[in-house]
Amino acid sequence: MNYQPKMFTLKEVDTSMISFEARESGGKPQPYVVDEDILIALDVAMATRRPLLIFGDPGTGKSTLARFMAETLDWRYLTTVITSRTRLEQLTGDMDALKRLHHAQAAKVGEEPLPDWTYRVPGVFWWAYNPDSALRHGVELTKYNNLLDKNDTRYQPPHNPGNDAGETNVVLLLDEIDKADPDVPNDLLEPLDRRRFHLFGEEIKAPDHLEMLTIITTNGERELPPAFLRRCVTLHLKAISKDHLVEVARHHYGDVDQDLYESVAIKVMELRDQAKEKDVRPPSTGEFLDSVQACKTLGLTPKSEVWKKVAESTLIKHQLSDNQ
Amino acid sequence: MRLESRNEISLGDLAIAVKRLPTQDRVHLAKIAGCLGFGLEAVVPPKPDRIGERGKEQSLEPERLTDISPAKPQLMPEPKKQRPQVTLPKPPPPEDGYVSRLAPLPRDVVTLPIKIDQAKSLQLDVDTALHSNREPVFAKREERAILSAAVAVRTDAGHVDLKQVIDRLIEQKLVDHLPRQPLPTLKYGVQLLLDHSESMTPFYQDFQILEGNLRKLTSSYRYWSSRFKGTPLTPPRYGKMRHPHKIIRNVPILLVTDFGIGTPLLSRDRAGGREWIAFAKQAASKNCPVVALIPHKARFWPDFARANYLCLHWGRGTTASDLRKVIGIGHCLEGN
Repeated sequence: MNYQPKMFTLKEVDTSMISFEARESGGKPQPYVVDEDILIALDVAMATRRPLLIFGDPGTGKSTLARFMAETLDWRYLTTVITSRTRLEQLTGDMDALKRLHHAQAAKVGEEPLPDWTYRVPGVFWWAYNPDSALRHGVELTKYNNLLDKNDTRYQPPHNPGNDAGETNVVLLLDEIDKADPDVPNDLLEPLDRRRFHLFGEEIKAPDHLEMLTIITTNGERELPPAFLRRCVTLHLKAISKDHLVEVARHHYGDVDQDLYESVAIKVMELRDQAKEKDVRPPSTGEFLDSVQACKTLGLTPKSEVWKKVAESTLIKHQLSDNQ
Repeated sequence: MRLESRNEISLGDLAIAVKRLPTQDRVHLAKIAGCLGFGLEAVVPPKPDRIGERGKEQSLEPERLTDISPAKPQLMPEPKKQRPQVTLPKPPPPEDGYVSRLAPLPRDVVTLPIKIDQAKSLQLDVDTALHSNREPVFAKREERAILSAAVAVRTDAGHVDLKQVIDRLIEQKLVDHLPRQPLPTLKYGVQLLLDHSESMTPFYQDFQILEGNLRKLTSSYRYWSSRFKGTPLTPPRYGKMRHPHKIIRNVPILLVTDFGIGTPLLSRDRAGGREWIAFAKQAASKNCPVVALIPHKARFWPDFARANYLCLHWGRGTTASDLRKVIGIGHCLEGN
């Protein structure tokens, strides 16, 4: 790989310092094996300020790339998983009508209801573009402070998924866009394209200085609208190979147990081939790492007798075993 | 960088990327272009291996099924895929062999050229026009949406408006009816009025495409089409029709006209602003919203048209969202 990214700098990760617990607690950056294609696509997306649409098989690291970039860039990280029930309002901002009804029913006689705007629920785009406004439900600071001064126990401020980092740059992950209702990608054109949207009669927009990397992933289960595709920078993540898995393990756990990585990787590739034949979900990179971790911690190898059980609990998960 | 008027990825994005990511490596340049969709590879990758294999080799599917599912008892023998050989008896040869013979024409068949006034008007069949290579005046992908938006009527038949219900409950008002969200419908149909004045001659074929598309969009039962010269109220001076179009109550009108913009001053087809205003009033009295499609740009539209009609440029640049901004979710019919 001789391509050096121009829009960001890759951090050197000391893998020997990363313990499993530290990774899980989010204390240390999580390593990610990037190749030239990934770096170029990221660079192009950041240079053109277009969303990056990532295609790839499950388990190839599409979603992990977003987290890796947030850690590399030291930007806020916002994520949402799209489902068939996701609507644009959930991504921009919605009204919690049921909570309002509940408050009304539970209110004591003569009790003043909370203002309507307190029931506005900011979506991920609102948090990304204008976290301060999202925190105040889109009202002026004085109005919001007046409410806080009342110490009304019924009111709970919204949880900021960006960890109160303020109006800083952001990496936004929209995971599994292909699961969405066919209208959602088209509805997203304006918020993505112009970095603004209209809500409750007001315009919510990102400030010009805000840098943002939007990463959208798809497994290709449903075709995306051409207008949406034509607005995205695209990246196809290659299918997992043995060498790639070994490289990933090396990045995560260092060069110490190279033989272990290779032997587990060979087993994973065998299981992936079997899974394809049986038409079940193949083991992913994350599951490969789990099995390596298990082997390292328990002092096992794929040749040991207990390996079959380890593989069943970390890689196969009863998907292949039922049919074997 | 301002992002006010962004759109689909264009060569401008490629220029920005190349400028901000300076590289001399041709492979890198090709990859940068490829990310933006300028490569030779398809933007959407082929389906994953699993599905690809299935598509490639269809025989894999039954193989997989036999692996997983228990074997089923074979009740019926598999039908043979080969067609049975059928031997048809050969027809007996005619006595005098296969020779064509000219038969005398019956006396009432006239082969003389018909007169000009008896000739049918120069019209293409609707289907012929639809299947011709002529592009519709509106952008192809927008046309259906524009026409739907132009003739849709707003009804209160959508989902229950939960917000309104809760509003009433909170205000301690009685919920005496279930408020519903608005829903556009095409069930009221459309009256299509086509201006056949001299100045609209270049659009005759487009009229036929429009008629075909509108008929598909609504239904034949709720579709009325009429042609006029001057205004829809002007009595026809020639042709079979003797009466102007009779406006049908509560049915949106789609009017395709240039309001005489291109008609010569002394032409018999030219109608003045007063006549057009009279038509607008009559349509309003019948509770019929009118959308006027004008083939000329907005700067040419006469003031009386702007004031009395919902005007829309019949051209490539028009989008359904332009129309929805004005009409909203659909026309509001009184008493609906």
